[in-house]
Amino acid sequence: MSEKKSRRDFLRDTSAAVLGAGAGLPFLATTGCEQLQDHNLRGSEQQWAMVIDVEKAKDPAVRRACAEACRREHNIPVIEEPGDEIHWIWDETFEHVFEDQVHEHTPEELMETPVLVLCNHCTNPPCVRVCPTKATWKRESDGIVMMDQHRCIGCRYCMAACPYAARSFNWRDPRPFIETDSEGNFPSEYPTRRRGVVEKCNFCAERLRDGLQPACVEAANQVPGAEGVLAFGDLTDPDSEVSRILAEQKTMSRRVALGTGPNVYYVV
Amino acid sequence: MLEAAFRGGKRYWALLGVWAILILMGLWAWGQQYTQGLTVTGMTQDVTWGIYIAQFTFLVGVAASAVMVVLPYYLHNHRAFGRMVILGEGLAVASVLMCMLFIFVDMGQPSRVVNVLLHPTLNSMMFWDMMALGGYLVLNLLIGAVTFDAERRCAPPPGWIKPIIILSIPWAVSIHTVTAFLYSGLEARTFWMTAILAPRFLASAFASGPALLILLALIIRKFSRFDPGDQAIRQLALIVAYAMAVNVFFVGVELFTALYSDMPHHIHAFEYLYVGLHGHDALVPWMWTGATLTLASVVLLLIPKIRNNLSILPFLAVGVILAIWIEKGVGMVVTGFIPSPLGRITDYLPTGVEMAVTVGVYAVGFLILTLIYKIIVNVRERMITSCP
Amino acid sequence: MRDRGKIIVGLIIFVILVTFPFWRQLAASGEADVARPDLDYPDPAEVPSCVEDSAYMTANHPHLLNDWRDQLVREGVTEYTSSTGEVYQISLTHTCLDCHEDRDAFCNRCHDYSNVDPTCWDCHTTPGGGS
Repeated sequence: MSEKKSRRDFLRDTSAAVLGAGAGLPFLATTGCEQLQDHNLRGSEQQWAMVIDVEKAKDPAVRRACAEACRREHNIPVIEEPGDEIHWIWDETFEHVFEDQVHEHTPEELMETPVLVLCNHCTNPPCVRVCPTKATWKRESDGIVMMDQHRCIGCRYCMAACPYAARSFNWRDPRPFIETDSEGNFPSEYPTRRRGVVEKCNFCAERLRDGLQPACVEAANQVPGAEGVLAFGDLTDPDSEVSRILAEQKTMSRRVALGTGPNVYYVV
Repeated sequence: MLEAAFRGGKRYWALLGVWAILILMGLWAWGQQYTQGLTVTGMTQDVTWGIYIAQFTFLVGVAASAVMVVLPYYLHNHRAFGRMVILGEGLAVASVLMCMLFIFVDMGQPSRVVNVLLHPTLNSMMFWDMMALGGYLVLNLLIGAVTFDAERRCAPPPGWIKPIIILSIPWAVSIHTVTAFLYSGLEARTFWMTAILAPRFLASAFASGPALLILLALIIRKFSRFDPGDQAIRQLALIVAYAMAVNVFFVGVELFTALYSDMPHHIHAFEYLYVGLHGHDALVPWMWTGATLTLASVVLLLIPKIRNNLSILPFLAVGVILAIWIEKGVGMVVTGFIPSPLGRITDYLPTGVEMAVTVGVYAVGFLILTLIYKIIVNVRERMITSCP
Repeated sequence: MRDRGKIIVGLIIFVILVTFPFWRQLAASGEADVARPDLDYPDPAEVPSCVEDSAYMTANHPHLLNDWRDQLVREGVTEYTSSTGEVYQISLTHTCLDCHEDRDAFCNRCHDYSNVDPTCWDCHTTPGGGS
């Protein structure tokens, strides 16, 4: 290294370095940037969405029915240890669900109102943006944010990215915690998951495939006095029930300012 | 050249023995984690990253800091760093290895890690982090081996290594930038989503890395005849001083934005760290210790008489490393999850298993570092007498 | 090299030892030491054929299942058309296990023999929700 650097050497070395560094620049073009795209072009061919009537869902029987139906449909384990519990659909208080919408004079009763929460199957999902293996991705055909449990490496980056705490990680083997019947069978044939992967609500993609409604929707709407508490349909269809409700009633969704475009709406 | 690692006295082999025992303990603990699942750690559905990812974040900075010696020496022919550069590259190799190991032990399905390579996802920062870390490891191994081998033969290094060395400079900056990008692009986590996160990472990296290098250089000087030189050590101290000053400025800037705007979302995290949030104050003593160490070390380092005093400098270096370790290794990762998106505050404390695995990974890094430095020292000690 | 003779002899012994399994197999005139396991097949009267023929399935069932997994989970494709033109539902639990009911007598016999431990059943269930 003792020879004097000529200008040519410097130019040669620097361009090699710039070329090397510049090789990383293309990734910038692929960092999502959904907001900059044409609104009409982004999103999927179809977009499943859900509308939850918060007033009707005050009935604990509704919320119990939802959670139970989901648990049985998907063999969800019941883990008591705090911090390890798995939930796909559950409820939290209004104050926490709509933290950006309440103020110090919001009536206590509203603040304490339990609200059903689940994965919002966002139009612009941050979890999909960060997953390093595409183990979670937004399905183009119907907009469901899917999980591929075969591919998930359990890095939990998606959980850091989700603004709704909608995802659960299997900190342990779930099978010992899944309720079985007298013959040792699980509530359904849906594959259980293994320790080390992340899971969340999948809008009952396997039921939709057979033309059925999601389990929670079907169960909740059967609770006496709660017909229509959960509406589910295709947002791209202007005649669907969800489109109709959204056009006619005042609805809210969670943390709108973040730009994730959640597809679960709440009639408050 | 590698056979030089086998020539050593009793103390050397005893040190390797210590690392080996710690590694075995870590392996056993990781075995517990692998068979039972990550439930044996202190992480929960609300705090999904803990000590492993925090150590990775801290060590990426140390790894990147090799650029602080490489740049002056190779780009500007700064001769004083002649015998320091190889130590910096050795530290970079050991640090990057530890980074990759810490990520590996944090995975829920470690056997599937190769999926990141099989299904490259260009929009995921974690994919780019893996590429950057892997590439940096290869770069530093190559550069270190080739340049050191050339020196050993008293010959100039081959011409083709020069562009690779130049490449390692922006690459070093990129590994820590992409790690910052892991955090700073998440709209869900307001504590992390700040543009200054990447600059902060770099500033703290350029303080903690060279500080560790100073300590290592002084240790090597004490136990062998290899001497990187007083001038190199003092100049590293100067780099640490300025980097710490910039780091303090950056922290101050963050505090201003949060406190002056008085926005709950921005303030909550700092409240949690420095005074406690809704009664959760486990990290408060840590953060104030870190703040004291930071201010004390930056003030003392900026005083030339103290900084240049090589009897006091080791303590300042330890202070800097501890301060940055508290800032990134303790305070940064967990706080991103406080409060959770649903307003919950869940405390996190690493379990015994987690700490054993952590110590085990550190031991792997220090084992590699010991081996690399032993090779350097052994080869160099012969060179003092044999090179023309 | 003073020890050339010893080194070469040592190398030859090493090569012989390391290739031992191969030439011993050849010497045993092509017959395996351990008999290929007997598998319980479904009654051919009830189930004339599998999705593909036996030879193909023996060699390729892992690839077929992987393809099915990607098709169903990632593409949403629910049906598979076999080489004979039959259409099958893509389902491990149903299309496979409805016929090959007893995993121990079918799947596990070959897997144990060849010391393979696929993790399918950590998650997937048998018809009726059994583990």
